[in-house]
Amino acid sequence: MMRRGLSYRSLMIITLFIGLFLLPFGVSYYILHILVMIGLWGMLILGLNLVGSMGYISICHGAFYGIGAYVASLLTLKTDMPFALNLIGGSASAGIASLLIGYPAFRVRGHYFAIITLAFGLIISLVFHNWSDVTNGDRGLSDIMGPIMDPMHYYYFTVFIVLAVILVTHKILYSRFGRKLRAIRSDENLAEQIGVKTFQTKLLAFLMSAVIAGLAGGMMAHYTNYIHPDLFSFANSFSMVMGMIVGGIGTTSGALSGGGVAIGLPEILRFTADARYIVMGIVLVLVMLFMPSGIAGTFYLYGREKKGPEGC
Amino acid sequence: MLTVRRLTKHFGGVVAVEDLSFTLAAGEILGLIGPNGAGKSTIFNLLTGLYRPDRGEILLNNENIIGLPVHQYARRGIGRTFQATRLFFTSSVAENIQVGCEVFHKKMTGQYIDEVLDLMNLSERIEKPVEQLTSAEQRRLMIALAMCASPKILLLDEPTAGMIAEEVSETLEMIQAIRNRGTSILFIEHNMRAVMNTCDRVIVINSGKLIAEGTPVKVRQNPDVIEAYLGKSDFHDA
Amino acid sequence: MFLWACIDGIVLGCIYALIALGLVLIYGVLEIPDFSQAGLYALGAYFTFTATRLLAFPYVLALVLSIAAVILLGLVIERVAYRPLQKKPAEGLLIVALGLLFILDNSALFIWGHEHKSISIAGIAGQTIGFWGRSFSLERALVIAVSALLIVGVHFLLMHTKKGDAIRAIFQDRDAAILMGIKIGHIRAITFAVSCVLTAIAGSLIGSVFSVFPNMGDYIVVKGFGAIILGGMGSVLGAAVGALIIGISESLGSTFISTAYKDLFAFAIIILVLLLKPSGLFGAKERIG
Repeated sequence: MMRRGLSYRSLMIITLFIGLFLLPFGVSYYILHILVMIGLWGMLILGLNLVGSMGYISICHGAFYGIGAYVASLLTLKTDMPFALNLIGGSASAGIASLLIGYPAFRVRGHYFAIITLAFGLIISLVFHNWSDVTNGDRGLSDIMGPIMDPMHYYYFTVFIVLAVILVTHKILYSRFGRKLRAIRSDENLAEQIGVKTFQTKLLAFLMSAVIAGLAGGMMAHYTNYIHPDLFSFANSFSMVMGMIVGGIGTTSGALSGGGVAIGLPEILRFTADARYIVMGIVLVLVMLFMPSGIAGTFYLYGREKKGPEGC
Repeated sequence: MLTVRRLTKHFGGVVAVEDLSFTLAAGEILGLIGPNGAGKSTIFNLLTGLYRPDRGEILLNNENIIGLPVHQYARRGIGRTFQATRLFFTSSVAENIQVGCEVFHKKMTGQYIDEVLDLMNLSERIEKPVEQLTSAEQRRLMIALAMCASPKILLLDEPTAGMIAEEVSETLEMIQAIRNRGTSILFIEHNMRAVMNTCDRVIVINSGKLIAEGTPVKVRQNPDVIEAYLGKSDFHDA
Repeated sequence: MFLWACIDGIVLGCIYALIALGLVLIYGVLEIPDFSQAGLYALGAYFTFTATRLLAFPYVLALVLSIAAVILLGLVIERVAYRPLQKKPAEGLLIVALGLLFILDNSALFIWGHEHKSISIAGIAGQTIGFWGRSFSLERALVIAVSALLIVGVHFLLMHTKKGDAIRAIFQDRDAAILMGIKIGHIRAITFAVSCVLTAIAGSLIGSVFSVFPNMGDYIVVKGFGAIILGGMGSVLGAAVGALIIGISESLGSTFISTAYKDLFAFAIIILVLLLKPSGLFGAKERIG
């Protein structure tokens, strides 16, 4: 098990909590917006972590994000159902989609799996753009109003949900199930040979990650009140993967710092306009070449070898 | 316990296993020997579901297990080690065993885990990362991992490969102890002394076919067996 | 109508086959799912476009220059990004490949912008060829002819040259090949270069029949891999056949059902085969434990 300086860590967490609570009172709406987006992306990457921990890279979570967003938004716009149910509807839809694509996708290993997810992501993006009757095509859906309209209230709401997601994913990764995931990453055939139901395990992890992504999508839609297909493109799926890798696969702090990078980097690079995506790509390649454990792996696991978080 | 009937496997035009039939009785240690490339590891792969035979049956307690998903083989009581050391290298000994045992969490007790580790003389090394184990310890861990399923049958692929004489004796004792607990063992070996001392019976495979079967003493004197090994340096005492 | 769709399908299939061939070679020898080929595909098209449109070079010269440029880029990528990661876990290569794809795609976007461009081949543009009583654009015929030639050429390379033997040896058993003294680094570079040639030509050809746009590679590379999956991974012939199947399905679906969703049809057939026969149409791949 990882040795942790208990009191130091608890202190850090408490400080973090207080900081999180007080934060909105001192900052501009723009910063608040950024924080909410980092929170949502942190959620996305926390979910993606579940799949990444198995050693599988999914390049379609932008699609799950989008399915959650569109379904939740449509439920809000066209029905009188309560907000919570709409969010759940969005998550569930994303979950169902993940089972539909996961079932064939997990029949192949590693690299080919990623390709199937890439294809799926592209197709869903296509549907968002073209199924105008439902999604309103490139014009997008607007005036998506939930019960929480004040940015500051939404901030607290997001923080609450993100903390819940952190707790859940943390628990999962450090449980019996998490060990199975890491075993699959380490040597999938061996895991199968000793009796791990690898197919079902993989599908379950994928499902959970999609449900979280769908939830984040629904939340984002009701925060920005407007969604359109470009928000859920391959570029976004890619940014999520980038965030996960740069932050550090499989770690919680990595997911959040990854979210920070995924949101922050394009913001910082705003001045470079279209070239910023090129920079993001370069960042990813450089990180993989020189810092494969990501931010969390390299800086937090001082004490251990830099190979990324394993075990309990 | 385990009955194999007319097992046949082709890869393209190459016959890997041909019309193989044998049985493994409860509590028996059966040696599987033969020159390199004779098809021994292929047999193991067939017995654990990695390959699907073209013909034949594999009966575990009179139930044909061909066609089941790989994870079911372990769950029904077939444990297996590999010729090359395969473990979850990025984890510790404890974590390896945990993964192995958690699959059966309803049936396994902590006590069983302790017993297995004790048996394989790894209790002291439990927190160590696998990479820090000696090569012999790693091979024993592989056996321990296979034991996690509380298997009725243990398939060991060259368990003493790469070990010095002392380690070999130790490992063979452990194998005996495992049998004494009620597990049947089928093991592939090139070390003839190990085979002679440990096995109740031996089957000999050459070019995918069964060429001899019987007690170690009888098999060793079999002229077909001697011919199969002539000129090959696989036949050795350690 | 049906014939048109089929011809277009074969044209697409040829392009996918070229890409799939390149991908299969790289995957077999370097063990990388090389997404960067998607970016190189687009850049190959753009280089040819620039050479013909802006520099007014004749098509063949432009093509040659484009191929040279793509090979150069490709070798740099192989050396700088892929080679250092050879020993690390497999996901690393996947991610780097993805990153490279992103870089290349967006570089194309940055330099040439969103608008679709097209390449016209002087001397051929606008001309048609008669076939079975109908006429088809000469460009289409060119694509099919060139692709067929290239596929035959690659086949010859693999089967009848020493380098080809080395490539096939590595394909079958990497470790044995090293033991036999084959210089892996050398072969890696050659394989990559061959792929780049196929990719650059594919991009340049498609630019004359359809159009050139920054993300063109993304869909193509997915279909290329899809062809490999369809055909059974590791089977070069299978990849080519898979590519034709995908091309024709896509074209038929696009013509008779819906153009906007043409990629969906390509995708659907891949999924269908995956569900029914995961090892592909030609693959009898056993998993080795």
